[in-house]
Amino acid sequence: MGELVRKYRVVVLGAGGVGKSALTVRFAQGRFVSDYNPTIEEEYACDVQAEGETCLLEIMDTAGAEQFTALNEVYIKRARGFVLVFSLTQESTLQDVDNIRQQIQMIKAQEGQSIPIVVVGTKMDLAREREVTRDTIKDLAARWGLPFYETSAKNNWHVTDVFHDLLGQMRRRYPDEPLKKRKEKTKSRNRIDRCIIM
Amino acid sequence: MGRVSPEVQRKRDKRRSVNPLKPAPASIPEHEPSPEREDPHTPRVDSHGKVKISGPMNGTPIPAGYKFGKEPPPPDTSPAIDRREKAKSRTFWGFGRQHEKPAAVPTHIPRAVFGVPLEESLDVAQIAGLPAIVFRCIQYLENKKADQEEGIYRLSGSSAVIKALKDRFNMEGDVDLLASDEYWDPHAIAGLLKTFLRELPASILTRDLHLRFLSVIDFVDAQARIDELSQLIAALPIANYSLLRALTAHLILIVQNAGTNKMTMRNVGIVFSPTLGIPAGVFSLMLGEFKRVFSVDAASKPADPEVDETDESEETNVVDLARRNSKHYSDAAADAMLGLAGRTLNATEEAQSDDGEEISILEDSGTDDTTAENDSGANSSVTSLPQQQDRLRVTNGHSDTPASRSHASTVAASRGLNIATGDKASKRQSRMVGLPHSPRPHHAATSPSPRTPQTPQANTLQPGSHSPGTHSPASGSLSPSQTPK
Repeated sequence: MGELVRKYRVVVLGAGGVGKSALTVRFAQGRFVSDYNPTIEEEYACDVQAEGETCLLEIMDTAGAEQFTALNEVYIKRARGFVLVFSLTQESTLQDVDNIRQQIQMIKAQEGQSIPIVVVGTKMDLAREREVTRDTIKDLAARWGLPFYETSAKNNWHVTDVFHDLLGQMRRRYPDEPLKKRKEKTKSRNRIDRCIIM
Repeated sequence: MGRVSPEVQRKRDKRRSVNPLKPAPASIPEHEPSPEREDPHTPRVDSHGKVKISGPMNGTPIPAGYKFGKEPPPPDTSPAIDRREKAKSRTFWGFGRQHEKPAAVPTHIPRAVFGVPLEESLDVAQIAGLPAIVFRCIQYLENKKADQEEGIYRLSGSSAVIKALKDRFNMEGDVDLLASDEYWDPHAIAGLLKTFLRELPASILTRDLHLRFLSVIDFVDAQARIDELSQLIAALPIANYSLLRALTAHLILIVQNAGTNKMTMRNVGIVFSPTLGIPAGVFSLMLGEFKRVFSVDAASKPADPEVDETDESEETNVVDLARRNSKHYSDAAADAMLGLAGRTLNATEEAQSDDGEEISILEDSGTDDTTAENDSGANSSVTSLPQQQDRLRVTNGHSDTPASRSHASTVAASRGLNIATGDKASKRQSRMVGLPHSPRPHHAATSPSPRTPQTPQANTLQPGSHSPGTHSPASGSLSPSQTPK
């Protein structure tokens, strides 16, 4: 209580069912969710050490299904960093990442400089169903100039790398982020307790 | 009349445009459509003699124009008939509208079916009373066994494929997806259907009825809720009724196969609730009580008032209305053509397929168990309710909270305080509404709905519900404001 931390807000975006929640929950709570629940919106907060300093990451896990895209703009405006998720087993989800990427650049254009973004391919463990080749990824990484990660939330492969990379980008991009008092809040707000008014 | 030269015709047009308040005389000779297109600024004169500003023809919807679609349509378009009138008149600048045969409309000018009012979409291309786009999508998905696809309607199809198909439908009106040899990813077709529904400019529940649909879940009594929903659905225009019914029947198949496709009623609700602008709770009720709320069997019954509830004249009206919609729908034969007939959700199937999620499903039909116990004798015409009660009781046994809750409310009910239940109903339902119930009708969500302010209060009330003795009187005092009339 009363401790001052730098707070960074991150939003996880991507098509429906690619594993945004699995990735987020794996990182924030260290477990793998295997149940099949489309997310509406969920927020997680967790401490991350970076260069000897504790930072508070607020991660917004969003609904992927495209019916919520109207909300994306709100999310994008509020967030400092972005995790764009696609499924390595479904190539079409890369299109959605590209769309969101462009949307972010449009909305954040006036801020200039680079925007902290990490692109994440999920379900790496499902090697047999893999559709997105490493060449495609290399190609896109070069073209978009963004870091790509291949992850598996199930096997906990490279999940933390994603968020550490993003935090590093955000700290470089927003070095003067003010110190804020830590809110004494629950680690994760359950969607059931909340009422979204649109 | 073809002898009238274009020059003369143009002059006539000008003359008419000079005096726009004078209704077009009925005896205006037929003429070639081309000259009037040279004068796009001519005010449009409709049959009431009012001047309308002519709009651009064939406006194509902005692809990413979700925000536009979200805005409520201009107020003057609210009645469906009015809109239909407009949809019809949109083809031309308004000249000789009475006389133009549809054949005179240049067929090469495509009319969009996406992002336009439902009536207009039907006007462009319809099959069995459904917009062709809807018919073709459901037809394809049923034919290709999309109900066996994991995450159907949740996973996104290729946005490029969806976009391409959308453009084709906008150009051609109707595309027979099965006829072509091409294979379409079911997720893309599902996405296409969702795109169409999402881009409907007005709520499928109609602007007039939307708010009443939203408050259906406020009814404490399960039977009353179903009755209200049936009445509202019966009051829908036939176009809306047909679309909703065919879609619901189709989705029942998806939910029935939730064991394979993982799309439980809850998941389908989460995905479709924002797409259609229908609260998840109401949508689940449509799925679960499909036969009753859509008066599915009404069409086959003779038109005489053999149903008991037809005492009051208003009721009779409603029943007739329901029968009319249902009859129209059956006559259009969408069910037969799509193989949707006889669909119904079996309560036990749903319970099985849902594993640990019963509780969340209960939230929309939350008070069934307790209230139904109270007036179980009253409902003689219930068909599927008993089954559902069983399911509810069984599932309640799994977890502590719902069980104790229902106990609390039963105790309260036994003292004549039905409200303890109602209180919790609104709480449960506010959780349900935790699902974004509708991004579209903005006014609906922000208007002072009775449940919105209750959310925090409901949370604090929760512990109290474990001690019915103290809780019931307190909540009893809340009753008048919370019980919907």
